[in-house]
Amino acid sequence: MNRWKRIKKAFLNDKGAIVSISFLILLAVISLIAPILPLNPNKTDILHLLEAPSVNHWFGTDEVGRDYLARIIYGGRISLVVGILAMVMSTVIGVSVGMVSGFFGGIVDSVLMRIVDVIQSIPWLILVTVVGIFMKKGLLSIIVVIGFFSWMEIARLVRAEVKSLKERDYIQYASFAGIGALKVICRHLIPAVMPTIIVAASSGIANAIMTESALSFLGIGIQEPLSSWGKLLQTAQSNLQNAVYMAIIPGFLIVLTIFAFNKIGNLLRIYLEPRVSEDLA
Amino acid sequence: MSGLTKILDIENLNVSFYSDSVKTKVVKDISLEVYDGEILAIVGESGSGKSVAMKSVMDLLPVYAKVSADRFLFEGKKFLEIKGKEKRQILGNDIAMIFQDPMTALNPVKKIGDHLIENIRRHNKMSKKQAESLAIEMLERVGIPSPEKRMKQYPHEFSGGMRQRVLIAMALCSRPRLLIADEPTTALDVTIQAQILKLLKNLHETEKMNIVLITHDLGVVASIADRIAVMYGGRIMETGTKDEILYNAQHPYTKALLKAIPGTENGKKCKLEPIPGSVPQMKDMESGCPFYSRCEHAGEACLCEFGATHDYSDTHKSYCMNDLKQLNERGA
Amino acid sequence: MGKYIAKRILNAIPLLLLITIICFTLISLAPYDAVDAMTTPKMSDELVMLIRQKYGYDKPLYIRYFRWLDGIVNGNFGYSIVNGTSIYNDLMARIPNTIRLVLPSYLTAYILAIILGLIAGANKNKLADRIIDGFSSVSLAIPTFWIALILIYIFGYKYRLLPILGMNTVGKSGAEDYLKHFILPYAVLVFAFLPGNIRYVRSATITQFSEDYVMVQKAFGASRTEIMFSHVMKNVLLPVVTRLGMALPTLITGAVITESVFGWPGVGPYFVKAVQGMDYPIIMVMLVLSSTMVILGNLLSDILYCVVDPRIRG
Repeated sequence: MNRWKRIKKAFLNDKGAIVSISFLILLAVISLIAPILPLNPNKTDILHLLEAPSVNHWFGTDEVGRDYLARIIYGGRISLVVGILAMVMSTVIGVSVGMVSGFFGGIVDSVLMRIVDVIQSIPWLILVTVVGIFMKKGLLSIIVVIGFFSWMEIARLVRAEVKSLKERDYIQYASFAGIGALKVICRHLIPAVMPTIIVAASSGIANAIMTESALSFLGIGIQEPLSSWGKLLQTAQSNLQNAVYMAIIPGFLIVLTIFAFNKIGNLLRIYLEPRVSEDLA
Repeated sequence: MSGLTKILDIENLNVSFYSDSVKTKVVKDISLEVYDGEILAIVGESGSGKSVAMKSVMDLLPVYAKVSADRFLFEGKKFLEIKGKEKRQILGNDIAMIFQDPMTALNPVKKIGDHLIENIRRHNKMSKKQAESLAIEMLERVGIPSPEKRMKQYPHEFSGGMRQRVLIAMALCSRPRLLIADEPTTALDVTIQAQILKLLKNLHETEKMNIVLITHDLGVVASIADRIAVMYGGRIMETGTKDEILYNAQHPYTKALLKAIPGTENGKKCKLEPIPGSVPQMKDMESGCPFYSRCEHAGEACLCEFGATHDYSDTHKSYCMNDLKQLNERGA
Repeated sequence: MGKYIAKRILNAIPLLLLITIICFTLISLAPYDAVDAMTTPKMSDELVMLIRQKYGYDKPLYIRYFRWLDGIVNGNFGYSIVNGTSIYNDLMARIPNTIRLVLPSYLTAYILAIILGLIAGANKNKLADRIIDGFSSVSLAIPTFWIALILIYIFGYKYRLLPILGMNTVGKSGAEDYLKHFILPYAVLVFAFLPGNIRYVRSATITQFSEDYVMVQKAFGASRTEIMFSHVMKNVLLPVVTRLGMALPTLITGAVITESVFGWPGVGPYFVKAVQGMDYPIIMVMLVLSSTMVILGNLLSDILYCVVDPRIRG
């Protein structure tokens, strides 16, 4: 409990962290209430194409006259959904693999870690696109592809931690006392590696959002009629000369979002990592 | 004793650590002196502040530590006020320190010879050649066989005991007036421990090097120390000559500590008595006696106050709220 | 040392084979193959069968795997489904362009990162560190393609200082024209490679400064500068130099996004076009090629480690 109090204090003392959290909350709220806002991301208006930001259109209009604020809010929804779901997926896979590998050791461990080696030796962009071509294009496949290929780092971390936890007396005692593996994992190991999981999840969202926007920007991610910040930037590229705000605004939001998640992840890392405790000699 | 020169003279040293704006006093009002020609041992359990106290001499404490003292003299110089370059000229030259873990104390990617030569040339104007031959001489002096060959080797090619010898050689290069040895044998095998202690004792005699030995091991103390200061919970509990402490201990903590070492007394086996309880947290004992919670004689006064001084001789002092004379007579 | 390196090489071989097997399986699983691309619906079944026989598609899977592997090893990478060109020739024309762009940018970023990382790590939590670390946290959050877009807008459209597409202006050649094309993608890539490397050097420096030997040197009167240059730097540079090996795959796939934005005629646009056109023989070759580079890179970095670190060298 003491630890969480310290984290709370650390967050309140760090201006960057306060800004990050407020920004993410604001983003989440806007994304949630978007459908009830008087904004239509799909209504075209050929009389007002590529108009710079004004009172009527706070963020201007795009190349077919759609309100860019609405496009950005709805695009942000997709970016966040992809980020969060892909993170959940990679965390679940990573934790399971790392847990099994670290807990059972032996052949299971060697095989799983070999698989991690293989997958990690393929550059992510190549890997994601290769698998992408075997799936129907769509939101779900983007999530699955990103989630499915970013779990290796978490798996390694969890495995290493479980391996060292296993040597601790209380875990050895539990096994010795005949408590089943599943129970030991759920009761003792998962709570113990929770800090690692939380930290990894926080930067996992940031990475997933970055990956999605890069793929969408290259035209191999989110497809029409859906849109995301990365996808908006792709469109912005062809209108760069006339409407630079179309590139600046979504890019800026990506930067803020990723920075905020990374910031939170880093602060949590400092206060959750077990070895960083007072070293009073 | 008072007629002798004091090499190190510390009065009311306080060291506090600050973290999250919480202040923790780690060393409280300790007074120490090292006389010319002696080996002083500071004895205490881990966490007693003995190492911190000596690191404050060497300027080795982390930035969040604050050091203050009423008097802090090294060879008559106000040591806490000396900073920067001036201080660096004294460190490693007039005072040297060796550490507990010789395995990590040397730079793994630097040759042993370069360690020594670099250190020699830092404090002495000397050509590389001269420094090299001095380094070889020093390695020989601390008992490292075929030193010319060893100079070109890396630390990982040395055993723990050999590395500790290298560090002692490094310290020896500038013939320091004071050597602080922080648990120099704790990380070593028992047989090697004895060799290193013998070496230290030998250097103390031949090189006129004064030594402060920090240790938790009373056996180590018994073999080489002249005087002993017993520390607990950031305070000094009792000081005296070796014999006064080992055979005529007055303070309840010292007595408990002596009972807790394995050994034989007058040929018959003694019963080993552990001290009940564990070392308390530093922040739990601001003003009272740190041994309060584990002491069988603790009274009300011990909780809020520390240290009525009892003098037994010129050299033998202890700090306890109890009337120790009465207490010890009753116990005897 | 020789034994260790031999062991590492022996370890890398099965990994490489495994990857080729995965690749080949993916190719075989693909919804249509190279023969489908050559045939048209008007051709008779016999003709299709003949073509299949000619290219060995009637043989069992494992034989086809060995033939394919043999081809890859001998530089026969197969043909693009979309326009039938030889993938080997395509890549040979494009890889040098990518290397010309990536190598200078990576080296620049690498050297800058070493300098900045050492400065930051040595001054942990002080002003210099806050600025440098702040810069790397912010730039880690910036997508490279966004920076590219902004630079294109500023230098290409607004002030019209620099060209924004390709490697040369059509009909022009020469160093000046090339440099003008080179500078923007180069800057973007330096920016992209910088933050990760700074972070790495910085944390290595901080770790070294907390080592016991630093404290011992302080106790022997060494100044911070002496400790930095005579002790810490070498310890930091050892892992940093060996990291260079791991950058090997970057030479080929490290600039896909930047190359695409700037229309640089390297591997990037080729690959992106292949993905958009479902041209998977190309994608699979890229998969094999890039993973081979990763494995070779790791191997190289292990070998470098053996060569430079006295603890293993001995």
